[in-house]
Amino acid sequence: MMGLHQWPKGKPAQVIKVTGDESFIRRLGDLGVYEGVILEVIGRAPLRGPLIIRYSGTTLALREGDAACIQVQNCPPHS
Amino acid sequence: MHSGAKLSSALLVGPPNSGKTTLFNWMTNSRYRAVNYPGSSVDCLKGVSHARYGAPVLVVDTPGVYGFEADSPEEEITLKLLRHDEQMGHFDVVVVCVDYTQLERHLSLALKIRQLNWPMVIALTMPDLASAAGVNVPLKKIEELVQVPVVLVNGRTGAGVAELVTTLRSLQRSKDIPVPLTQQQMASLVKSWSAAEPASRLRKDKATTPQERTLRLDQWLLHPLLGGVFFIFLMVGVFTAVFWLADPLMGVVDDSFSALGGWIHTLFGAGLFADFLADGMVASFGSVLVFVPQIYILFFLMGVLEDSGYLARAAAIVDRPLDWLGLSGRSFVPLLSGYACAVPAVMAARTIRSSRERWIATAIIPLLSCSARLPVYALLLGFVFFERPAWMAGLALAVIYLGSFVVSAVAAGVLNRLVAKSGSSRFILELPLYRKPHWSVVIHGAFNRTLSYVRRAGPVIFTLALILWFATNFPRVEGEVSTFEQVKQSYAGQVGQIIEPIFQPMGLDWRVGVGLISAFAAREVFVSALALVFDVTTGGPDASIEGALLEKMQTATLSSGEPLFTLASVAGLVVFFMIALQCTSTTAIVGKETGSWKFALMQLVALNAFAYMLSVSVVQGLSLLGI
Ligand SMILES: Nc1nc2c(ncn2[C@@H]2O[C@H](COP(=O)(O)OP(=O)(O)OP(=O)(O)O)[C@@H](O)[C@H]2O)c(=O)[nH]1
Ligand SMILES: [Mg+2]
Repeated sequence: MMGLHQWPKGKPAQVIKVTGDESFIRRLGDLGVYEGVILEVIGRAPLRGPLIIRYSGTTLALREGDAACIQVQNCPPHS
Repeated sequence: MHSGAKLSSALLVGPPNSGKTTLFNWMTNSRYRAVNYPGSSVDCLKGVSHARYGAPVLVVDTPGVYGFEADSPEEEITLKLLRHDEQMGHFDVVVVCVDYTQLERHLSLALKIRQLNWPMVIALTMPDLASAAGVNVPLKKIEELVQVPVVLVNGRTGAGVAELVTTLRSLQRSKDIPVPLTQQQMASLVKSWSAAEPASRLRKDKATTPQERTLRLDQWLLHPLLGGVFFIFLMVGVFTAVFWLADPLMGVVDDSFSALGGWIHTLFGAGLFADFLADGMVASFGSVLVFVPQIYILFFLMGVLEDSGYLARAAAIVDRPLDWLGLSGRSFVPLLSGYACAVPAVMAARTIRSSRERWIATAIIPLLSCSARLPVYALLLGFVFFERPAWMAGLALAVIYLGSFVVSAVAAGVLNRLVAKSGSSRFILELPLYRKPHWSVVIHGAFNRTLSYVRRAGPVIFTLALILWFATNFPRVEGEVSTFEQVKQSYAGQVGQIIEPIFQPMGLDWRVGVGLISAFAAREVFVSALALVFDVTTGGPDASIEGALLEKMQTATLSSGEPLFTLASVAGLVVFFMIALQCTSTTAIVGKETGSWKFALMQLVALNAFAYMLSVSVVQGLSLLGI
C-alpha cells in the first residue's frame, strides 16, 4: 500500500482509501475516485507538474500532494 | 396558447462537459459557446424552445456540477437551483445530461439528483462517441435501473431532441416524481450497476476508440519534456499568428476609415461640420473597430484549442509554474483571454476554484497585454523605428509582451506573499477526449465574444472620442488661427495646461497629457486623441492617420524647444501603458465580479500610481544617461 504519487506509470492500481479533509474526499468521490476503483497513472505534466490518471473512461490531472492522499495497492488478480 | 398560461419550464443540469449547452442550443435554436472544456459555462442561459418542437417550454442551461459539493461560485448557482431555491424561480422538470461514454460516473450524479424530488428525465448524450468506443448498454437497461425516462440525444445531429421535449411536456403534466431510494437501495443499485457495465462494453479494436486515440496523443502532448516544448511552440505560434494574420486586416480597417474621412472632406469641403463627421465620428468608429481582427483571431485560435481538448491539457502543463505564483492551472484560460481583453478574462476567472486564487488572478489580469494596447505600442514603436526595417519594431513588440508577462508574474508572486494563505490550494481538472473541433461552433463562438467586446467597449470609446472632439474644438477661437492655437485654447487644452506639471516628469507636455487622460476611456483612444491634439486630419486617399501622426511626432517640440518625443519619453510612455489600468470597462467588471468596489478602486489607484512612478523613473533614468 502506498500513495498514488509513488505508483509506477502504466501499472493498474486499486484505491484502498482516500485521506484528507472531508470536502476533498467528497470531491474526488464525485469525480469517481473512491475505494475500490481501479486506476492507472498515464503520465506527468512537465516540471514535475500534475499527475495524469485514468479510470473508467475519465482522465484527470491532479497535483502530487493530492495524489499522495490516494492510497493504492496492486489490483486483485481476478479483475 | 393564451397569454395567461405559464410556460412550463425545464432545468438542464449535469456534470461539466456532458453536452448541456449543446442540447440547450438545439432546443432553443441558439448558438451559445459549447466547447470541449469542463466548466466552459459560467452562467445560466435562458431560452424558449423552438416552434418546431411544439408548444414552447422555457429552458435554462446551468454550469456543470460534479456532485453536491460547490467548489466555485458558478457551481453554487446550479446547486441552489437543484435545491428548489424559490428565489431562483420555479421549474417543473429537470433534465439531467449523462455522457454515454462516462455512464458510471455521470449516472451516479443522476441518481443523487433523483433523490431531490424532481420530475426528471435523463438525456443520454454523445451516442456517436459511445458507439465508436463500443459502449453498448441498452437504454432499457438504464431506464430499468434508474426508473426515470431516458432519451438518447445526439449533439452533432440534433436527433432525439424532439422526443426529449415531448417527454418533458408529459412529465410536466403528470408531475411524476420518482420515489426516492433508501440508502440500501442506492447501494445495491450502484453495485448491480458496476457489475452490469463492464460486461456490456463490447470488445472493439482498441486502437480505434476515441479513448485510445486520446491516450496515445497524451503520451506525446503530456510528455514531461516534449509536452512542455510543444506547449511553448504552440503558444509562440498562436501569438505570432495573431499578429501576422491580424496585421493586414487591421491595415484594411484603418485605411478604409481614413479613406472614408478623406471622402467626407472632399464631399463637404472644409468647415466644422465636415471636420466633425470625418475627424469626430468616422475616426472614433475607426478607433473602435481596428482591434476587431486581433480579438477575433485570438478568440478563434483559443476556441480551436479549447474544442480540440488541448486547452485543458495546457492548463495542466502550466499548473506547476503558476503554483509558484499562488495560482493554478485553472487560471490559465482566464489569463490567456486577458491577452485579448481584460473584460472577458475577468469573467472567465469565475471558473477558478479557490477564492484566494481568483482574487490574485483578477488583480493581475489588467497587466496582461490586451489588444487595446496594441495600437498604442504600434504608434510608439512606429516612432522609434521610423523608416527602419519592420522586424525591428516586431522584435521590440515581442520584448514588450514578454515584459508585461514578467511584470504580471512578479505582481502575482508579490501578492502571493502578501495575502494570507487560506487552506491548501488544489488543482483537479478533468481532461476531456481529444476531438475534431466543431468548426461552426468555434467560428461562431469567436464572433460572439468579439461582438460582445464591441458592444461593451464600443459605446464608451465612441462617446469619449466624440466628447474629446468637442473639447478640442470648442470654444472656437475668433479669426484665422492655426489649429494648434485652436486646440491650445480649447477646453481640453486649458485643462491639459493646468495639469501639465503632472506630465512634465514623464518628459511630456500637455498635449500628450490630454492623450493620456483620454486614454482612460479606453487605451486605444490615446491614438485618436493624439491625432486630434496634433491636428492630424484625414487628408489624401493614401495618407493613413497613423502615418500622418508619425510625421508630426518627429517634429513636435516641448515649449523649451527640445524635441517632445525622444527615446526616453517614448520608453516612459510604453512603461506607463504596460502597467496603468486605463480602462473603465475593466474596473466596472472587476467591481461587479468581485462584488467589492473597494477592490476595484484600489486596483485602479494602485496600478496607475505604480505605472506613473515607474514611468517617471525610467524617463529620468534614461535622461541621466543622456538618452
Ligand atoms: N461527438 C459529440 N460531441 C458532442 C455531443 N454533444 C456535445 N458534444 C461536444 O461536447 C463538448 C461539450 O459540450 P457542452 O455542451 O459545452 O457541454 P456542457 O455540459 O455545457 O459543459 P459545461 O458548460 O462545461 O458544463 C463540446 O465540444 C460539444 O461540441 C454529441 O452528441 N456528440
Ligand atoms: Mg455549458
